[in-house]
Amino acid sequence: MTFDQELIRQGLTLTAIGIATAFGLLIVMMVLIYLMGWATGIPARRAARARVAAEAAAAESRDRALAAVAAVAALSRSGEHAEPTT
Amino acid sequence: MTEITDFLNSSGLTNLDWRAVVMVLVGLGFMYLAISRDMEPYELLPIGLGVIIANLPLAGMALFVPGEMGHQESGIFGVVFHYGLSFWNILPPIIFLGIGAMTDFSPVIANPRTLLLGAAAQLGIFVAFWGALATGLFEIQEAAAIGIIGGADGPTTIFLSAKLAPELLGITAVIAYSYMASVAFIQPPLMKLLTTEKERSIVMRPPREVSRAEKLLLPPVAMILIILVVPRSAPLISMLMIGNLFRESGVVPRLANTASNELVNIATIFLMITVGTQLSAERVFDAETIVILALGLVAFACGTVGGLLLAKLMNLVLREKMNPLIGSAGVSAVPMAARISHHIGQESDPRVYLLGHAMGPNVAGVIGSAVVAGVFISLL
Repeated sequence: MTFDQELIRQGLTLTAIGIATAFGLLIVMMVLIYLMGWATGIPARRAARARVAAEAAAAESRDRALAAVAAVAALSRSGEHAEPTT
Repeated sequence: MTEITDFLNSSGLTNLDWRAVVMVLVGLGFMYLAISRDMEPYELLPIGLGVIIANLPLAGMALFVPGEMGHQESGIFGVVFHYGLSFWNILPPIIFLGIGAMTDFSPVIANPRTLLLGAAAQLGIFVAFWGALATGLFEIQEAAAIGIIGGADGPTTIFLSAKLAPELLGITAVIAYSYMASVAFIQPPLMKLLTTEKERSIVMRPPREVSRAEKLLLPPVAMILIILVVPRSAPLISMLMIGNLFRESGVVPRLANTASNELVNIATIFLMITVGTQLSAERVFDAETIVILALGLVAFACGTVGGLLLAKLMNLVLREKMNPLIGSAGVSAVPMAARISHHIGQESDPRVYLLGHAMGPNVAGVIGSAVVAGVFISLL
């Protein structure tokens, strides 16, 4: 077994740089993928928010319309039982 | 009479020695494993044929004679070896183009933390590298070529060996592919030894749906990042990402089809037969080959252990635990290692479905080993 100092030094350098580069690059890639997921999700999140708001507005106007119908119905029913005023 | 004697002397039969016969049997063995056992058939069948061709005396198929006089003397696989590997080294990148066009990166995008498992599984490369140096039999470049077997990635092993230690190319490539074909025997005992039944039964949520935009962004972003840091990994990484962008863009189906079918098939035919022809008897019947065989096994085992242990370590801090079995898929060996993670998980609990999750570290392993190869080439 021949293990001279120069060989050990070169081997250690290779190992340290190799491991650090592999981990470092893959960690940076991991962060970038999370960022990409977040960034590409922005339009989808906006669209989802807009859809929810539109649905809420639609529900509100539907409720208003129902309320109006109910009010008119109630008014006309009370009119049926009212005595003629003339 | 003289003509008959000359003819007999020029015949392979009179020049056959026992080592060549053994190698022909080895070649037949590879063919048997490929055809009857379906073990890495696309690699072991042409490699087996190459081994047989290389060991038939006086055939000269793997011979390369440089210069004007050599034009009619060189064998086809000698020429392919010279220009395709040792001189220009273009065949492994072409294979990577095809791999890129065949691979879906969605599992990595859906669960990016699995990239770390791919990095941890590169441990085997460095253990085998130091093992090779410790024997005192190999130069540091040869040790790097032996270590890269632990990346469990055939084209990367061939690419690095052809650059740093062409004399070991046949041996390292065949050992890498043989062990890749044997992951079903190498990995399960280690996986069961290092994980508990409870850990193996962890059910992971199905990976999230990945958007088209994410799939389109990953190849160029990863390519630019990796090549900026390790330019010498460019031949492999750029081709992998180009192939993947062909696939994901959806606008060049003919290019994606060609890269993942015709082109990769043509490259595989020439690459694998040529690798087989490098296994001549005088190279194989050598103490060094036995040592490389042992170091390759150590490399595969340590890569598996590295991935498994990091997955267990990550579980200590993760709120949503991952099944540590997916860590062993970080050794590359796409997709066999991922399938093994899945099968072992299913043995513990049929509800455990790991295939999609294990493809993440599997793909990360391919990238990780190409990066380490680039580092070796840069520094040696």
